[in-house]
Amino acid sequence: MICGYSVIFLSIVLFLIGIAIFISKKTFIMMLIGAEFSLNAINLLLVFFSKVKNNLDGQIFVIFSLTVAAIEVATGIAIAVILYRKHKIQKREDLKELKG
Amino acid sequence: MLETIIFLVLALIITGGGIYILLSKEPVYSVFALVVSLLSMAGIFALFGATFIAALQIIIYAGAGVVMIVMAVMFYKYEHNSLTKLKKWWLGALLLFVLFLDLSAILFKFEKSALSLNPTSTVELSKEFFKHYIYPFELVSVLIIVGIVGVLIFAKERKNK
Repeated sequence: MICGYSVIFLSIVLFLIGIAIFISKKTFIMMLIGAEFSLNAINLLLVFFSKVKNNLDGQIFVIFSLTVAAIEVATGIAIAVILYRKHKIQKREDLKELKG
Repeated sequence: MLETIIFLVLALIITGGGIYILLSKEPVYSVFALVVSLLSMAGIFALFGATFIAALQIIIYAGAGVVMIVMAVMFYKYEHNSLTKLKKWWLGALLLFVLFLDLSAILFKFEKSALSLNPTSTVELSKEFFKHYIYPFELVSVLIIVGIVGVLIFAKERKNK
């Protein structure tokens, strides 16, 4: 019998780890990894509540979330690679032209 | 009892992978830690009985997404120290702690109820999906086309400029 509180606690901790990765890494790709991690934590919570309430809507939302996350990774990596190839920008501190 | 032990082991692996990503300086190692975390998360989904979601997690996240990230890491020329030297790290820690207190409201709202570990049948899931969520499904396909076209436009070399 899995305790429900431990699942929710795990999900919150994973979400916060993802946010910590997002704000403490320099390069764009590591920031993207942090965003993926947070999204995954939310998926865990959705599946858990879908199983607790015996309702399939949570799992369907997880399918949508997976698709949108895949598209997000594709576009984000394309932007990161283009920024590196054309302007040699690798870190977020170098993005000074977007100011204002 | 057995499922509790499996859940705790998988949870430890996922959390350890996340902390490794947070602390490591090598991008390729952290991508592999991400793969380990995602596969363990698929294990937790399978343990809960959401088998279809577990399969999708392995195929889409751990298969396609991570391969793309590894490709992008190969394009980059990394400096090894990729962790920001935060001057006010305590401010970030305080922010995360406040966010944790905020999110733990879910814990207090949650009424303890039995978690059914029976496998969800994929037939029922797809019937529910195509009965109620047919328009979001079509919209997601439009979103995929927009993403593909956007990536192609981004990746196109503009020669005459």
